[in-house]
Amino acid sequence: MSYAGDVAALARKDLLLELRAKETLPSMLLFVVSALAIDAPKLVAGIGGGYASGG
Amino acid sequence: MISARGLAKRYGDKRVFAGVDLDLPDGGFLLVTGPNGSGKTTLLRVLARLAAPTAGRLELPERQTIGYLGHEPLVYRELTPLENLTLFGRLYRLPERGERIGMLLERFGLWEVRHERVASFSRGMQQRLGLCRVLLHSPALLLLDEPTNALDAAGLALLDGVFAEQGRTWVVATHEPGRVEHLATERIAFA
Repeated sequence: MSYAGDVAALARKDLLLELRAKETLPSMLLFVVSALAIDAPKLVAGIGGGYASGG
Repeated sequence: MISARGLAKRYGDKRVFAGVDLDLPDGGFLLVTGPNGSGKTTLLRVLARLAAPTAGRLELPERQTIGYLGHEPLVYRELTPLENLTLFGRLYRLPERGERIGMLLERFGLWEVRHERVASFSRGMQQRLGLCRVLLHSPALLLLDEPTNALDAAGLALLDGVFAEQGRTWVVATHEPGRVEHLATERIAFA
């Protein structure tokens, strides 16, 4: 088995562990939601600006 | 052949052990005894190359395969026995690993539960799986730290069967040496 095979075996293990234990997913989702909430005003402004300049 | 002269290990100001001399020929059985906290586990970790000695000289065979079973079985609790052993078998690049895994699971009484998560196992069943893990790649040197931990009478009988196998070098640490005393060819007793 190659180095790529080792990586694939370890990735499969990590995915199975995460799917079953769900230890990382909640904190990752919380981080994503927090980042979106913090950056939402900038994103909205950016989209609005894009429409303005495009129109 | 494992050879050590004046082997010592410290953690900061705390001396774990010092002045360990050892000559363990291939096929020998080293029994390490002593009470809790006397340095047995640390010596095994040094011999397994998981920790570096602070002082002294240690000579280990260059390309010897090692199996190390510590206080924990070191298997993934959210995976099944079959998934655990398949993962380790792949990483060890074992040929015909399916056959070997099946044989070990049968031998240690885990075949019927091969698709169940390890998290649901008793400590004794996890110890059996830990033994499967260390035997999977047929290591030439086996380092077992308190291998009788949590094993019931049937598990202990299985362990006796493992000890009876020829062609391996053994290092076994225990605070209850009675079961393996008669197998020992070398001894280190920590106070």
